[in-house]
Amino acid sequence: MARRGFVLAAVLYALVLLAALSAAGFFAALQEARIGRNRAALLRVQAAAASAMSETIAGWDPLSFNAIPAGTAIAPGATSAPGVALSVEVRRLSDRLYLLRTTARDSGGGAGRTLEQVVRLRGLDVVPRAAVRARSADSVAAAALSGADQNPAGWDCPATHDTVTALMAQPSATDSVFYRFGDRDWASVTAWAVAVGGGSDSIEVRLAAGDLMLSGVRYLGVLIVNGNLTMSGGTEVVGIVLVRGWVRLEGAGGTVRGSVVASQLIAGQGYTPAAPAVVYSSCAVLRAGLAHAYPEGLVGFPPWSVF
Amino acid sequence: MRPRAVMRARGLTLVECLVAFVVSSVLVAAIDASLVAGQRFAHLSAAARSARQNLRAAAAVLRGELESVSPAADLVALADSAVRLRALRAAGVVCAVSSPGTVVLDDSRFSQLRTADPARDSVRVFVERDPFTASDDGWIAAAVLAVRRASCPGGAAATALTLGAAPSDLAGIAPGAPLRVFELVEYRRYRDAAGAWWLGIRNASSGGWSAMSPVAGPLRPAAGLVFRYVDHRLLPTGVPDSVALVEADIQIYDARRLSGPGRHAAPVVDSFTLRVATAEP
Repeated sequence: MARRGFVLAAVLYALVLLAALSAAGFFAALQEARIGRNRAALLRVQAAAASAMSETIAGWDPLSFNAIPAGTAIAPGATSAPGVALSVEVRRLSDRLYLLRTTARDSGGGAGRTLEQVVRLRGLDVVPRAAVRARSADSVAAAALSGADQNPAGWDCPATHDTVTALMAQPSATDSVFYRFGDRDWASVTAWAVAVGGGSDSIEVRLAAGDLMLSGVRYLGVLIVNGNLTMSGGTEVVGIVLVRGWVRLEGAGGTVRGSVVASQLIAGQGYTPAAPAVVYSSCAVLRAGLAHAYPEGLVGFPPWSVF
Repeated sequence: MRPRAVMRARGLTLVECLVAFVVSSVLVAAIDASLVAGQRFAHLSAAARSARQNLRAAAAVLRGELESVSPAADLVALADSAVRLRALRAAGVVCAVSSPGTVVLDDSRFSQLRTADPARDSVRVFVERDPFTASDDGWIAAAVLAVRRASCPGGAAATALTLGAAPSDLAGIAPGAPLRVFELVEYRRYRDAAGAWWLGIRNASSGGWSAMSPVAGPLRPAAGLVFRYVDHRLLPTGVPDSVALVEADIQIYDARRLSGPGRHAAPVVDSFTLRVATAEP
């Protein structure tokens, strides 16, 4: 009779049920753990991609990044993160715009994230366009200016097609208007020159704290003079010249291929120019103004995750 | 006469029967209690898992939409129960302008959540006017009039969008211009015909607003979704331009009164606070 009891069956049934409940609980916990692990991997690659984007912008290398032609791309390195494979692409879209793409992939082969951002070079804007923008200029010096756009010899520039004002006189412009270069005033231009200047780059940014005399030298880049500038002896400057005071041309003078902004343009006694004093060059102005520019994000176009 | 021992082996005494009855009753009661507890626990676990998955879904959708908005340009209306925004649906770079108003985007650099829809989408294109200054650069907004397959000058597969805007604006678009495709959407808490509350989405199209579609829920009645907006000083703001952080309190709700170990019968509620910093530079 004892062998026909139901206790053993009931106990076995209960054990099976408990096992099923335990298995369900274990499965749920395992699922949660997997979800958590995947979420952690996703956050890791997301953070790595965002970090690589910030690093690319913060560590912008004007010498290499600003030199690539529009439509091409380079792949700079990025600081690697543990367990994450990173790649970075810097693509130039136009003179000022770049598309940055960072991709982070979990080395486990699972999660991946690609971020893109458009940035714009914050260069030195010299507008309105003119060979010389000055409050005044004497007639001799004014006659030695050319607004016909010319490329510097040997430069790989787009074909020129326009002519700008040779002398833009702004006699009544206030300092805040006259010494305005895009969103920069004179103080921020000099601060920018201090920050980026002093290198041995092919296109330099040089700041003269006071008066400067150039005689028979050749200079390429942005020259900022926080005083007066005297040019003589056939000096040649290719790029942008910004002078707080006057520019005096003496003797054989010199030639600026690009653009000049100065309070006054004066021809000294015995000025006998061998060539035009200033020849406007849009290519030289653009390249000099952007050579040492750093990028900033576009308002209205925050980074986005590639779908 | 049979031996007495044989008679005793075939029968049960009253005491034995009572003991067996008591033991079996205890066992049945214990098994029943454990079965009921197990069943309640299973229901509670399933409800909790469902609520958590709902929370994850709600958080993922809202985060994905909010993290790519430009507050000044994309946040349209702010309320504690809803947010209306221009949600990013695609972004890319113009490789060619095939005719005035028709831009071609290289597919390899045109990231699309879905194909652009003329009935629902609009675009913003960045236009550099004078190359010698950045001060006149800006965005132009345009409607999407048509979408078709095309190719870039190099032969790469591309998508062509015909845009509707002032001709003077469209004339400024050049190869290399970045472009974003948007859809005007609204996320809000709403109550369906059965009385349940949901996080829902609706989108604006040429015919007006679509009906609400549920994204996650059910939500805790009346207050299961609350948006807050703060500026860079972490002070509340209602001005889209100044929003630096969007917070969303989400409470998923299961009206069934479920009990479990150490828990009295009550509806299941799981909550999550989502914080998304806007990525505007």
